[in-house]
Amino acid sequence: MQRPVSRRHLVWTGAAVVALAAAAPLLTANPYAARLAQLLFLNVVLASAWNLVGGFAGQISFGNASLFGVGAYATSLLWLAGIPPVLTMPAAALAAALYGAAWGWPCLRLRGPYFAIATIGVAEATRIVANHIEAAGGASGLTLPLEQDIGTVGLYALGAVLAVVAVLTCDLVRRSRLGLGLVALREDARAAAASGVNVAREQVKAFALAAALTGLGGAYYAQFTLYVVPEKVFGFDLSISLVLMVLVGGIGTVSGPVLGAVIYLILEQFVLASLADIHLAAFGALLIFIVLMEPRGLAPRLVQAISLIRRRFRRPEAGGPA
Amino acid sequence: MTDFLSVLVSGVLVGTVYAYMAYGLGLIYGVLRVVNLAHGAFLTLGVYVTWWLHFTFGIDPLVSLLVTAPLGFGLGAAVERTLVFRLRDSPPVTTLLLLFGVWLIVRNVLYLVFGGTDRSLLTSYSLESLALGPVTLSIPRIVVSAFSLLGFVALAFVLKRTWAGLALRAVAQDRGAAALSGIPVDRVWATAFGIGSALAMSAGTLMSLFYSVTPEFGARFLLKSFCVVVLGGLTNIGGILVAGIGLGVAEDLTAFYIHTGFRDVVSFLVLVAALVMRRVDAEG
Amino acid sequence: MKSELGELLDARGLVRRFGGLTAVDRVDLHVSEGEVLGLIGPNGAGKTTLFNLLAGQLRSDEGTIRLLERDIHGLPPHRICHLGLARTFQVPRPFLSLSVFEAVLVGARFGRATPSRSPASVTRQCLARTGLSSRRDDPVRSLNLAERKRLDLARAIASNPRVLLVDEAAAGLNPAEVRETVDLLRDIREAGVGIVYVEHVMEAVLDLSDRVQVLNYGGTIAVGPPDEVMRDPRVVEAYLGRAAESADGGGTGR
Repeated sequence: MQRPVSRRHLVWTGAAVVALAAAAPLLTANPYAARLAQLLFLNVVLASAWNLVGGFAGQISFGNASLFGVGAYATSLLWLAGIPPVLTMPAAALAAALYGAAWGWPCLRLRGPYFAIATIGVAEATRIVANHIEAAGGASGLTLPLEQDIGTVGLYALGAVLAVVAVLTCDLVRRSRLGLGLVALREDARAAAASGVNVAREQVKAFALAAALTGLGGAYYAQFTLYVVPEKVFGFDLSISLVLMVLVGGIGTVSGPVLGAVIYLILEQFVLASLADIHLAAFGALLIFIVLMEPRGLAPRLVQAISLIRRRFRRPEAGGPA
Repeated sequence: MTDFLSVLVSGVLVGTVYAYMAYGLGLIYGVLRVVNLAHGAFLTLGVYVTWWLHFTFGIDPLVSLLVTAPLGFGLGAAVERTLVFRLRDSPPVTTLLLLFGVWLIVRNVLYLVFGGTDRSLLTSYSLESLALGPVTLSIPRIVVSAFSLLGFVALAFVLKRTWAGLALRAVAQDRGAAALSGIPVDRVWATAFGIGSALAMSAGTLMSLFYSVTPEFGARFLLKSFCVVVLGGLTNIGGILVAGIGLGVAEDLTAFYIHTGFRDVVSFLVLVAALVMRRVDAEG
Repeated sequence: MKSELGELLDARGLVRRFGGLTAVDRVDLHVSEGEVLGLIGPNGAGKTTLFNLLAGQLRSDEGTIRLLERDIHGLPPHRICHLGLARTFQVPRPFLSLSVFEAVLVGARFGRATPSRSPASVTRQCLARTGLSSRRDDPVRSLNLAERKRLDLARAIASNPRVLLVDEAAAGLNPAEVRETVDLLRDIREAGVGIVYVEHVMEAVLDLSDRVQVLNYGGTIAVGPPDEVMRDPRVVEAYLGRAAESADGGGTGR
């Protein structure tokens, strides 16, 4: 808790950067591999952002698509106005953060299922309104120009940076005063308030931060798909996929969203591509399975397995832990 | 003025269906403290079953209430017995996610069985209307509204006058005390989930008279049901009726005077406002 | 007007109704620096409701509350905590997934700042005072009831209060643990904190209190030095008479 940025961070961040750089040639070799990498980075960013509020503060949002869409549209509109897309990203983050704070402020006073329902309401209202804004292309969306494309390698690097920033943000928040307040209010909002935690403000802060990251994700998405349309970027399915990723990986942990993003991508690309007809049911069954059998997600299992292997490896005669 | 009156009356008629459609959600919450995110699934299923019975056997939608209501009860009770009861002591959000999983599966099954195309049914009276002075009313809306009100009366009777209703209300009041006084709480829960689902599926049947359906049908009406239930006060029959009518009128006025596309925006924003203002979650 | 006694908390004419029931009925309450005010009365007398009013968890329908000469009526709980009032809960409400150290750190980092001390060092000190130092890295959920009650106290004093509301810190503890709790509260009082102490364990509250205030049906029926108050016929009738009625319920701890 004392030193937010520790040596451990530098080591892990360094390792991640090296690994991502080493994997770059492989993951930019052909369009399919490049798209997989882009989707993976995007999922990591969005899932980590969702986890800031959903995991630490325990406020399940089914409405993060509304923030994603705002980011995607902010970048697209500025891009079409002639600004290089990478330079539009701060604006996308800001727009999403403002929108998130605007509706998070009233809604985060609700807790549990009520907050979850309110987020569905906001996100669906946003989607319908977006379909009717003719200045932003209405229901047919916006097609983006190819000219200022930063190229496959550029997109890879941008995605990698965003993913590392998102995970690092998650970890820093978990160790910060903000993170302590969020977990405290998740466990018991009344006791947290009695200990001096401004429950409303801490949640809105975290939500605005999550919204900024989600908006950046939207901006990134616009740059690699070159096409934004309300039904997709403001769609309910997107919001749901984030919930699923974090639950599968491990809610409230830093590694959970990353693991969940990887598993989700594998499921989506390799398993469900051949079973497109039943992909909703498969996700539904997965959700039910996780909630009933592994409510803490797979990350704790993985950590368990790794430490077990390590112990076996180091001390074959391992006694009971102290 | 005539326009306004027509819109108003049609809003009231739709509103009674909204109230009927929402009541099951409120009942399940009241008794089990569970937010039934699969509510939309039962509504959609009700429309499809009705459509299929009409399409295949020519059965009148109102007759198929005799099929959808019991079917809804059975399915709902089964979901409660197999899944929901396992999470009895978990935080409410967990059950919400579980039931969302059920909804996804039902949606998928509907896609497999009926495909994604719009289905709608046409009865002999679908296009009939009745002129009452300056106001023209569509017959299906009148019929559906009347059946909804009838359903409400029946429900109020069951809850207020029967032993089962008493048990439901007792468990809703205080689960522990109800258990101590010998009420089989497990069975009451399954019954409540069953009744709630039966209400949803029969509401789907009624709605089939004037809505077409795709597997995505449930989402909009799930949110509208939330809206009605939160505004009306969870299990308060009178409150829910008023809230349903209020929403129906507000929507029809918006659609007529502002933009048809914004019809649903009204209900979603009213939902959020109602949630925030009522603070239903306020800790005791 | 500043009181020479160093008055910290001064509530007057507090009223709170729930529907037709008046849970707190025109109650005055004050506590000074280094003073322990015992608050007793039969179950349902309105003690916990009164705490909720003072700590801002409930709003009073009538009356004024002044903390260090400042009107705190209607302020949210976290503001009241920042101004120097902390509370414990009758049923401890610990942060189950945190470690013991982190749970206390919540009070130190978010409460009223302790001048020239880091939150971590405040936390370490509070853990030492409550005898929880050896458990600092354990998860809160591994603590037993007595430890959770002490943790709740540690969390409360970590927010550096001038006034501490203690809700049944001794209930359910064995005699040795009760003694430890009394010593701990005495130690906190020595540091100048004003304590309002709700308790059913009579020996603890009579031993510790400078003054005792007795509530019944939401109103104050007696207030004064412990021995005087306990001889008051109205108290004997209302409090002990009532306790005798429900004697088989136990728990009045004698």
